[in-house]
Order: sequence, then C-alpha cells, then structure tokens
Amino acid sequence: MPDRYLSLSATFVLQAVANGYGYGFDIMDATGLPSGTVYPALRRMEASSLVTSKWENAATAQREQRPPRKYYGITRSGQIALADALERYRLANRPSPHTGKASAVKR
Amino acid sequence: MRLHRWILAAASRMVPRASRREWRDEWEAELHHREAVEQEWSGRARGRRLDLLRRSTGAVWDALWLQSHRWYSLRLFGRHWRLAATAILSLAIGIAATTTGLSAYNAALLRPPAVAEPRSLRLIHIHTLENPFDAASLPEFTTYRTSTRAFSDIAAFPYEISSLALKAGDRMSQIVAVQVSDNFFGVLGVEPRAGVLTLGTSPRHDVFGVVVSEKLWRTLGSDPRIVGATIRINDQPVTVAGVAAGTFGGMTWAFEPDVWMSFDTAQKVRGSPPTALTDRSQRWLHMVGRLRPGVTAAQASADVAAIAGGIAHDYPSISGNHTAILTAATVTPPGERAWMAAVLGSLLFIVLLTLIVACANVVNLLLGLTATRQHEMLVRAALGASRIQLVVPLIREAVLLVMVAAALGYGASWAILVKLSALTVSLGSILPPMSVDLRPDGIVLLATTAIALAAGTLVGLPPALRGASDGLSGALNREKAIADPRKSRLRGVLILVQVAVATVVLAGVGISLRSLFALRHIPLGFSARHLVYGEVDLRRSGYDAAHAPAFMERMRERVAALPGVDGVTLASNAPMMGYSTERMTIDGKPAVAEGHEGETPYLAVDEPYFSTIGVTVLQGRTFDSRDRAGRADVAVVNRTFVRRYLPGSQDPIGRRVRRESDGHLIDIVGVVADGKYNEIDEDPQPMLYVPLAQRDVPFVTVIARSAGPRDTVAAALEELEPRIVIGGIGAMTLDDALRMSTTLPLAIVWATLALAVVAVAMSVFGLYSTVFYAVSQRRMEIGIRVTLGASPRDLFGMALRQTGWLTACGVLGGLASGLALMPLAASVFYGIAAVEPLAMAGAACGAAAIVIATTYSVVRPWTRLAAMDLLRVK
Repeated sequence: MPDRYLSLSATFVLQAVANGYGYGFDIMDATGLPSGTVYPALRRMEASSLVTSKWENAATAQREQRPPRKYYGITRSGQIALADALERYRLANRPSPHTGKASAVKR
Repeated sequence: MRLHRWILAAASRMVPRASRREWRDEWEAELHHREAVEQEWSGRARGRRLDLLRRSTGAVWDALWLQSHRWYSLRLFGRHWRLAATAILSLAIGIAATTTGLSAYNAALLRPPAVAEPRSLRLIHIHTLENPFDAASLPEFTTYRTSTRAFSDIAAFPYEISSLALKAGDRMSQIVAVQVSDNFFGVLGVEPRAGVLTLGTSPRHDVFGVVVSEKLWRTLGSDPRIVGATIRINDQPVTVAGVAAGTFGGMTWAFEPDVWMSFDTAQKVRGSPPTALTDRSQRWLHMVGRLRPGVTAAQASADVAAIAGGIAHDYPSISGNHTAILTAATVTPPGERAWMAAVLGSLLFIVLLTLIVACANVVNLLLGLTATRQHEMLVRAALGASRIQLVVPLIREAVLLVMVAAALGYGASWAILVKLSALTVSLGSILPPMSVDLRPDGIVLLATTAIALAAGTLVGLPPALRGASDGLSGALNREKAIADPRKSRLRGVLILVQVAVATVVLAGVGISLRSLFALRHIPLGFSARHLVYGEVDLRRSGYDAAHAPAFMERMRERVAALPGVDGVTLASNAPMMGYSTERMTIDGKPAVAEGHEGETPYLAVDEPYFSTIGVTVLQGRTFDSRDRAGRADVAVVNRTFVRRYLPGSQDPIGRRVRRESDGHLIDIVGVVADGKYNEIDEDPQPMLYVPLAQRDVPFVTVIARSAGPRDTVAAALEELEPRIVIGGIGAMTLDDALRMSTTLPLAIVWATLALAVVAVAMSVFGLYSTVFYAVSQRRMEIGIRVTLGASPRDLFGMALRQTGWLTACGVLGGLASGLALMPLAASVFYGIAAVEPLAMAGAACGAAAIVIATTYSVVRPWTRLAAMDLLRVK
C-alpha cells in the first residue's frame, strides 16, 4: 500500500508536478527547494506510486542537440494524496482560536 | 571536464549499480539543459558556473539518499541511536587510544629525520661486543670520511646537546646548541631559509660561523639582516652564516636545536677540552652518510667494514676489536631504541587491549541489535538470500559503524596530540624544556585505517553470522532463540575475554602505582635537598699536584663562609655523577664490580663528605685529620662491598685491600650505607671511598648544601681565583639532576596509568552490558523462581553461578598473560620485580569484584519486583 502521508516539502514538489512542472530542475525553480530535497522526494513518491516517470522522446532531444530528459507526471493516487495533504496543511495554517496566530506553516 | 561533471561522476559511485546509468543520464540531461538555458539568458559565465555547481551538489544528497534507502541498517541505527552512539563512542575511545599509541611509536622509532631523501641515508656505528652502536672519535670519523667509496659524503654529530647563553643585541636567552661537522647540512640535504649553511671560519680565523634555526631567527625578530650579523654565545662572538629551513628539526629527538656550530666553535664557546678533537679513545660522534646512487646495502656494509678493519690494524690497542655496521637514519640514538621499543610496545599493548575491550563491547551491542532483526532476516532468507548474501551487508554495516568511530577517534586523537606536541616538559634548570612532535602522519593514518577495517570486520562477523543463522533457521525454530546455547556460548566468550583483559589492565594499574610509589621514595643513600655542585678543572685553573691541596682548602673555607651555606665538601665526583675505577684485590682475589672490566669503583672524598651529604655510617669511622698524604692508606666501604667481597666477615674493620697499580695495602676503617652512584635504577653496587688528601686528582667537585642563591657559590670561587675553570655551579642542583632522572620513568608510569584506567573503565562498562544481557535472558525463569518462593539470595547465587566459571577462567587467563608479561614490565618500570604478587592478587580480586558487583546490580532490581511483573515481560 502506498505511503500517502506527505511532508510539506513533498507536497510542494507534488503540487509542482501536478501543475505541469515535469522536470527536476523545473520543479526546483517552481518550488524554490534545493535539488537535494527535490530529487529524494521524487524518488520516494515514485516508489509510492504517487508520480510516474518516463524518458523524453530521443528523437526530440536529438533534434535539439541535447540528451533526453526524464519527465515526471502525477498519478491518480498522487492526486488523492496531494488533496489530502493540501487539506491538512490548510487546516494547520488556520489561525488558532486562542492566539489568533497561524500555528504551523506558511506558504 | 567542468567541476560540476566531476561532482556528478564522483556522486554516481554511491548510487546502487542497478540504477546508476539511469540516474546519471537524468542528472546529466538536467545539467546540460540548465547550462544551455543559462547561456541563452545570462551572459555572466562566472555566475552560470556557480549556479551549476550549486545545483550539482544536490546530486550528492540524492545519491546519499539512494544509498541510505538501500542500507536499511542506517535507518535502523537511527532508530536505535542510543545503542549506535554507545557503540561508536566505545570504539572511538579505543581508536583514539590506538592512534595515540601508534603516533608515539611512530614519532620515536619510525619517523625518519626531516631531510632530503632519508632513505639513502645510513647511520654508521662502531660495533663492539660491549656496545653494538658505539660512536666514533673525531680522528676515526675523518678516516671514514676520506676513505669511503660507497658514500658520497659522511657527516658527524653527537646525540647530545648543550644549553648555552645567547646574547643578540639586548636580548639574553638560553639556547640549545649542537656541534656538527662542517658538511652536516650538505650531507643531509637541508635547504637554507637565508644565507648559506656552512660552518667555516671568517678569513681572519677569529670569528666563527654558526647556523641558526628558523625558530630562533623568528624569536630574534625575523630580521632579514641576520646573515652576517654577530651574536654572542657564552660571551664569545660568532657570525650567523645562515638560517636553516624550519622543516628541519635536527637529528636529536625531543630537543630541537637553535644553533648548529662546528667542533672548533664549540671548543671555543664551551671551553671543552681539546682532547675531544684529537683523542682516538674519546668516542662521541655519530656518523651519517649519504649512499652514492646505485650502491647496495651490502656494498655499503662491506665498505665501512673494510675501513673499520684498516683502523683496527693501525690502532690495535684502541680499536683492535672494532668493526662497523649500518642502520637506517633515525632521530633516536640506536643504542636507546631497544629500550624505547620496549616502553612504547608496552603502551601499545595496553592500547590494543583497550581496543579489544571496545570491540567486545560493540559485538555485544550489535548482538542485541541483531536480535531485533530476526524478522528482517527471515524475510530476506525467504526471498532466497544465501548465507553470504545475508552476512555481507551486516558486515558492511559494522565496518561503516567502525569507520565513523575511527574518524571520530582519529580526530579526537589528532586534537589531543597537537596540544601535547605544543607542550614542553621541564627537565630542571640546566636543560632546555623537552617537546616531541607527536602529530600523526600518513603512516599513522594508514595504520589506523587498516586497524579500523580489521576491527570492523571482526566486530561485524559474529553478529552477522548470528543474524544469518536466525534468517536461515529461524523460520523453523524461532521460539528457541532465548535459550539458544550458541548465543550463550558467544556471550560466554565475551565475558571471558573482558574479564581476562580487565585482569591484565588492573595488573597494569597496580604495577604503575607500585612504580610511582617507588619513584617517589627512591633510596638514594644521601640527602639531595639543596645540594649545589660544580666541577673545578684544577690543572687548567693553574694548580698542579703540589699546590692543589692548599687551593682546595681555600675553596672550602671561602664557600663555607657564604651566608646560607650549611656545609661544604670536596670529592672527585658529585653524588650520582659517576665514580673512578681501579684494579684492586682482596685476599689475592680481584674485587670486581659488574660492567667495569675487572676494576673496582671508588670515590675520593674529604673529611666532611659523609656528614655533609648525609651518608649513614654503619660501622667504624670516616676520614679525619689522621688520613693525610704520606700516612697509612685507609678506605671506607659500603655495605654491598662488605657483602660481596668480605662474606662471612663479622668485622670488616681492619681488613685490607691491595691497590694493583702500586701494590699499596689499604686498611678498611669504616662501613657506610649503600647509595646510588650513577643512575637511580642501578642495582646496589660496591663502593670504596678513599681520602681526597691521599689522592692526586686533576678535577675536584665542590659540593655545598646551600639554601641561598646558587650563583653566589660560583661568584665566590671566581672571586677567589679569577683563572678558575668551573662548570655546573649556579646552573644545576642535585634536585635538578634527580628531576631529570625521574622525568622519563614518571612519564611512562603516568601514561600507562592513564591508558590502563581508560581500559578498566571500558572493561567495567562492557562487563556490565554483557552480564546484564546474559542474566536478563533468564528473566522468565527468575519470575517463576520468585513465584515458587526463591529468596533474593537464591536469585543472586543463581546469577553468580552463571558467570562464576567464566569469571574464574577469565581471571586465570588474565593472570597467565600478566605473568608472561612481567619480565617486560620489570624492564620498563622502575622498581618492579620479576614477580609482583600483590599487584597480581589485587588485579584478580578487582576483576572478580567487578563481575560480582555487576551481577548484583543487575539482579537486585528484579528481586524487588513481583513475580507477575517479571512474567509479564513475556
């Protein structure tokens, strides 16, 4: 059974993939996270079937005189996990009834 | 190749082989794409390169993550971090101790001098039966230098140093000086920091050239004009010819010279007797030669042997039994190396024991961890993993654990050794402080890595085999694990080894303490407190045999009149500063002391000698006004003299000794207590005292017991006789001499004690955890016994029976090892006999007490728990 609990940084990465940022460095640019965070997160989510990967068409890459890149896409499980995670972090970011301040995380 | 591609290539080695290709392709494509995009958008090449570099470091983290994902154990260690931290700490202490021991051994015995191509240097020793590594006289050195064909050149230096007074400008300081041959720096290949490294004289032959160290040059203010400047050493002007490069620390271990000077310069500034440069029998120079290219060791040996043969032929009376041998160039005198190897070998032994204890502790901890991995092993085995496939990852994990510990231990040891290397040890006021560069070098790093790898494999093997066994057979008989006899056997071996090691190191502690006590209570046979002394050269001071007695009387009266002086005496040698020897017979038999080639040791002393230095008179009388020149020859002997040469004699007073040189008979008039005459660790030896008034001595030592300023004694003697040639007074007291003699033995004792205490502490910790685990395996049984009415005493007895036999065997093994090592300990430690029953019995009792206390502390909490609490564990 896939591990659907996502950390905040993994949520950022998955959301970037869901928004169409399919390459590692594009995801880094979109999230502002370092490569040492993005890649392990992608590996973990791929192992949990939240994302899939496929290699770019070799002919396209050859036409542009560069090596083919690896493209990541979100799966159905990934979409569910992302929705769960976003809901969880949205709740966490709601102001506390006691202090009136956001309790945990900020986007 | 760009730097980011290098990083990628290096990081890819960490990625599991199966996915390495794909991983690298992905990263290369991303970096290539980024490079192309940035090239298009940004014109700044430098910023672009930095961005790529920053991004490529992410590949390292990615690769590490993949590796950690693969190594389940890394996460397991993280989960059991207390256990992993304990294991790493335990091993780090063991590795730190090992690195420290290896560094000391390396610094003293292995590290070559810091010169050009030390491998082509050889030390040339005069070899005799009495002294296999003897030095050469200056005339002999000259012969070797001019006659050799195997060496391109030969230089000479003594392993001794001098402490001299330096005056440069307004600055006064004590410096370490060494006298060397003029080609010394050329043969060693030392580069100058400034000027030239030659030791010639000035054209006028009145000012001598010296070479100073870079350290002294910096102390003097790093003045670039120092070359050619005149400084004063012992109030004699010398010219600085050059500054030696700071990397060269000289050829004398523990003392880095400040100044190198030629033999002629040394004679001028130190006032040493000229016979040292001409007398063939005065051997004080060690020779070092640079082999010609292509010359083999055998050819070089044959060359020096031929030269030695020629010298033996030409000077049969002095050099008849000599030959020459070669050894590698070292900074420690070859004659001292065997002794140093014994000392440092003993320390290394204790260090290795510490490491063994640490390894045993880690094996125990890993066994505990392996027990939690039974299911993992079962799954792996069920998926088809072979025994080797189960064992190898576990060993790799243990090696990783050990390598982390090794890095920590090495780092800690390096920090400690850097601090220790900067420390200086005071050796009294006459010698400069001693310091040794103990910093670990490449050899130590290599040895530590090899030891760590071996330790990692050894530590990993038993738990790995255990784990593999659990995996392969556990599916069938999982329930037998707790009482598994194989597991019990392994723990039994661990307890046995730890008890044996604890016994040996406790014996080491006992022996160190015993030696420390002996060093604090050395029976000198006299009182050294506030004794100052100086040797007066009567002939060079202008006094021959006829006038010396009156001069000696005047010296005694002058010093006695000084304020603060409680007593003055004159003797041929100061206490513990040696003696003379002469052929003597008793009842026709030679009175021979060991090691003196058929001669009897004697001291010429004046009337108040015994009372002034505090020698106890046992029988008869000492010297008085009757014992003058021309009267009957008399002597006082010590107790060992009587015991050895006059055995069975009830009353040695009146017995006679014959002096072979003139046939005179000497009456024994008194017997005094034994003392130390040369070294603090010498065996009791016979001594014969004769009246100074009845001997013609060229040198006499003035000894005063003075609580006042020491310089006043020397000043008073110089005031009495301006021509006086005197050495020692004002600079050294017997307290200093004793401190010098005991510094090294004390350092050995303290180093051993410190290491042994660490080893004992680790043994106690290891024993506690092993016994705890072994006894706790019987929790359920204990619960049942408590239910059936067993008393705390019964439970303690039960647990003790479990460890009793193992403890007894361990103690016996430790005692056997300790006894086998006693001859080595006796040669290394001061005041230690070949058998030390008290230390051995104490060690055995101590080790047994540790096990009993540990067992009690493990069982005690359970005796207070209800039976259900104990059973609920299951």
